[in-house]
Amino acid sequence: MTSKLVALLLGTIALALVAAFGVVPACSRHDGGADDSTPVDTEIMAFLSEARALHHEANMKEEGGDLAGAVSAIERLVAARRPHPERKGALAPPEIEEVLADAYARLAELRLKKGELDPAAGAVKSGLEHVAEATYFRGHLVEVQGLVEEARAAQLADAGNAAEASKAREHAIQLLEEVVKIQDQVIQRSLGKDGG
Amino acid sequence: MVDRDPERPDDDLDPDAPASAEEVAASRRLRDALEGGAAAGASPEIDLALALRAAWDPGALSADESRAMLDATPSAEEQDHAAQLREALASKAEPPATETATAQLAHALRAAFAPAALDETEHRAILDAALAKLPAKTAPKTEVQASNVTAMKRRATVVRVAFGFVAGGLALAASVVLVVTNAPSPGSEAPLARARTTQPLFSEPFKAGETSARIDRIASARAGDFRDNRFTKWGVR
Repeated sequence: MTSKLVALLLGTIALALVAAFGVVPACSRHDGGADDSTPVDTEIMAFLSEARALHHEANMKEEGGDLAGAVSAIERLVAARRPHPERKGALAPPEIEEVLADAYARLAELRLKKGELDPAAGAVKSGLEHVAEATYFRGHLVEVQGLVEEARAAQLADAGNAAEASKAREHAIQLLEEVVKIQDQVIQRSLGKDGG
Repeated sequence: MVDRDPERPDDDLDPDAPASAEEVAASRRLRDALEGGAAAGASPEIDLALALRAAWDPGALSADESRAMLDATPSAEEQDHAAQLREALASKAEPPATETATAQLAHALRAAFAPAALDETEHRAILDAALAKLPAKTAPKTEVQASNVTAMKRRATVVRVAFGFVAGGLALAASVVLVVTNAPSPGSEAPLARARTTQPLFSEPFKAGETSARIDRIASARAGDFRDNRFTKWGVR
């Protein structure tokens, strides 16, 4: 009888350990999306500081009417050395990717002010590579893209190319509708998180 | 003795039955007699109660009573009674019904003061009488059933012990898991603020011309995280 009870005890312990160690790591993996990311460290802060400085520099140049200087400042930002370059794609620090997406959006706006539509569209395209999910950042980029196409339609219409202007206008409308969808997704997701 | 009410069930069959009116009245008479110091001969119960009290807590004899006892010479009849009582008490068996009242009383007093252990037969009889009062569903009616009851009790004990072992094992395993999972592993850091989306910093879609305000907010928020991380690494937190 005693040996049976000891066997039962050992079996129970083994089963509980297997269950626990099978479940705990699984839970850790589930929670640990954040563990795959890097801590907020000196490299990240240095890049954010650099981005902040270049944005304010672009502000002053833009306010002074120096759009080329503002564009130059933002181009320096998007070309700056990035923190943790070994972490690419989904492993890259999200705030860095979002700051880059926003910088590309501003670059597109500046290019748009200068009437440089193709470089503006190119900036939007580059920016979209940094934000794949529906966020305010992606919505803002698509919004700028819509404005670029709107400006293109006007430019084409001024040039007497009504057919291309109509196509550009249609494209602009599609992009602006996409913005509405993106922002709606963002808001819905935000409300879901608040509710949950 | 108290007369039994023929309407009432026998106390041997129902020891928990409430006292009858006659029993209550007899009890009251006995209490009054003990408190009031009733004279002997009132009733056999009162005589017995007085005798018990005198044996347990004897009162002092008066000088006359003491002298009378010392001077008295036992008669042949008294000596005969004393011999009978000695012989009756020498036997540990129950006195036969033909025994004198004095011998019956002496046996009752001895049994009350130093009860003998029950023999197997008496024990079995009491057990059978108790089991006979159990509901039919649970009362074992045969030796086999009685042995089954014993076996079931033994199994119940084993089950309880097994559950105790299982619960103990689970608790032990849980404590091991808790210790292992909470133990700081070499090289691991205290929880640090991680790089993550800045979306929660913004509550509405972006507007044109506010890009630098956004980077201000992002940099400010992450500066707080960075400061916390440094404090954590220094062990301040």
